Amino acid sequence: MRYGVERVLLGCSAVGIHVLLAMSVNIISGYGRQLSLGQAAFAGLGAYTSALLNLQLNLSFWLACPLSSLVTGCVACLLGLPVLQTMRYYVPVMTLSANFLAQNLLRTRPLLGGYIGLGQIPPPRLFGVEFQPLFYLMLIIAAIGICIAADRWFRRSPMGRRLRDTTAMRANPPPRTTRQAVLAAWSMSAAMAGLAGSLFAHFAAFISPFDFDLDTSLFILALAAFGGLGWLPGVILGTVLIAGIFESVRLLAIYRLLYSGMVLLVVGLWFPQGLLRPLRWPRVKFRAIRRGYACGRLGAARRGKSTERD
Amino acid sequence: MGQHIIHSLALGCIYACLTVGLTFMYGAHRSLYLAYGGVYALGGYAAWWAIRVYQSVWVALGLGALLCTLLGFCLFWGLRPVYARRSERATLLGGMGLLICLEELYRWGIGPYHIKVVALDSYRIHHLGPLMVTNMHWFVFGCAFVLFIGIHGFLVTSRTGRALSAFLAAEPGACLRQDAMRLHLVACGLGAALAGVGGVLTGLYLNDVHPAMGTHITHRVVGLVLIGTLGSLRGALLMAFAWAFLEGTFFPATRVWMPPEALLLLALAVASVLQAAETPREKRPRAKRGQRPWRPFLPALRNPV
Repeated sequence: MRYGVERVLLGCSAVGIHVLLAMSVNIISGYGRQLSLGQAAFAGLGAYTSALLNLQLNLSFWLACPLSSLVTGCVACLLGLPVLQTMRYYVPVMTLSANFLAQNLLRTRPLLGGYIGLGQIPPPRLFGVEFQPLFYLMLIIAAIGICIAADRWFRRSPMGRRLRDTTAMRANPPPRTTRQAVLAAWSMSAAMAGLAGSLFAHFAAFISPFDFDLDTSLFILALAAFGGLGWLPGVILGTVLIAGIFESVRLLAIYRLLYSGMVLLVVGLWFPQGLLRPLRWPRVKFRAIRRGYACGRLGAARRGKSTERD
Repeated sequence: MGQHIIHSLALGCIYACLTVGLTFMYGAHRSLYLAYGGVYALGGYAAWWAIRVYQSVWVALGLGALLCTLLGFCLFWGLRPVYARRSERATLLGGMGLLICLEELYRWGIGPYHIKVVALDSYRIHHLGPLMVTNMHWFVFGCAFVLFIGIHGFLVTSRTGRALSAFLAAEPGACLRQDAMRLHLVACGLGAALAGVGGVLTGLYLNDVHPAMGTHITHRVVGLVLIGTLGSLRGALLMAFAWAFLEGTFFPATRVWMPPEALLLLALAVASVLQAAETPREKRPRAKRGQRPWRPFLPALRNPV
């Protein structure tokens, strides 16, 4: 009985880490409209940083976790600073290359454990007590709460509003203010992925390069795209649903890549607002009507359609 | 060193097929075509099948090009109406999804393992002094040479080719007298056929085909096309050979350990900074009648109009 409860708690923790990763993708690919095809590389950077700080320097989890998140954010900022100058197509290619580079480095460097990976990563401790699955789940939920608050703060900040008001980024190069906003979103997204990676390292106690490969990146992107990029409730709901199914039925793991491909194809070609769009509709309609009345745009021909965007 | 250069040239021919083909596909779709790797992998599998059944590299080459052209046309007809209505992000998502679906299809249909494409005459070695050149080297050089001479002739001499060249360089005024759909189709057919030829040459030269080969090559090819300026055939060709030289000669000869992706990221960053450092739009000199208009990054590499 106890084993069953623990298994459920561990499964919920894994789903929570997926939620964090999907939220990180949503910030850059949803709000920033720049497709990130290598988010697992940043999660890997966070995981390995946290593990090495813990194993090599004996730093506590409570110090290693924020530090790894900070390091990941800084690395992303350094990577993005030149590449985000032009933006069109550079971000997907850069993230894809970064993922392959991370794989190459993780597999070949002896310090990082090579193909075998790093093991015996201790779980977090508080006042000398090791975290049990329930407490770990609560820790992940707290991290999700912090990330939701950060997401909300970013959306309401001047940078977030600027991104929301920019309908398309085909201008080459885009305005400086938009570039700054995308860079901020990019760094924040990477820091969030680093946090998720750090939590994963201490949760699984063992990490290897295969946990952060291209398949993982595409799966995270597919989770976020399923709920609708740019719509946080949909992203969280879709991730809980799909990651929950994959966690509970482990036999489906071999179809993970197929699922990613199908979702990306369907969402990209036919449902750009995600497959959970029907849940979103009433609120959009309500907002559209409210905005339409406020702007004096509503009439017989324009019943709130103008606010629906891809 | 000489042997490394010969290997680099062969790699460069394969990369050049892929980068030039992707540039044509970009012209056809007017969007970065991430599913290109899936078409390329089909070429590799066609080579494997043709060698197994017919034991002829020429059949492999023809079959690969034909099958990939058909797949390219099918995808073009299927995707074009949808692509036209979607944002850039959505088209990239769709392209990536298509690439993964094709990879899974190959994995399901043929198997997840690496397969050897044994070309019967590939190990006949010609001794040129200290150098060794196999029949397969000559085959790759010959195919690429004939192909690029043919494409160059088509783009320079024929009316459709000139219009296509201008069309790729995004100069709408130059191709007004041509049917736009025809240009799209020609670009798509050429791009897909080049992907097929690239796949066949890769399969024969490297003697290895696997389902993820398309996914693994995509980031390099797309990166090279971006660095050489999107839509520029000369840029794509130059970057392909430069990259092959670095990968096949420079790193092995100097024994510098550097992951190729790190170099690609560095080059992307440099290209991005150079592109962003262009003259602002309002300060660009206005082109006079009969004069070539202002060009962005790498002006000398643009296509002739």
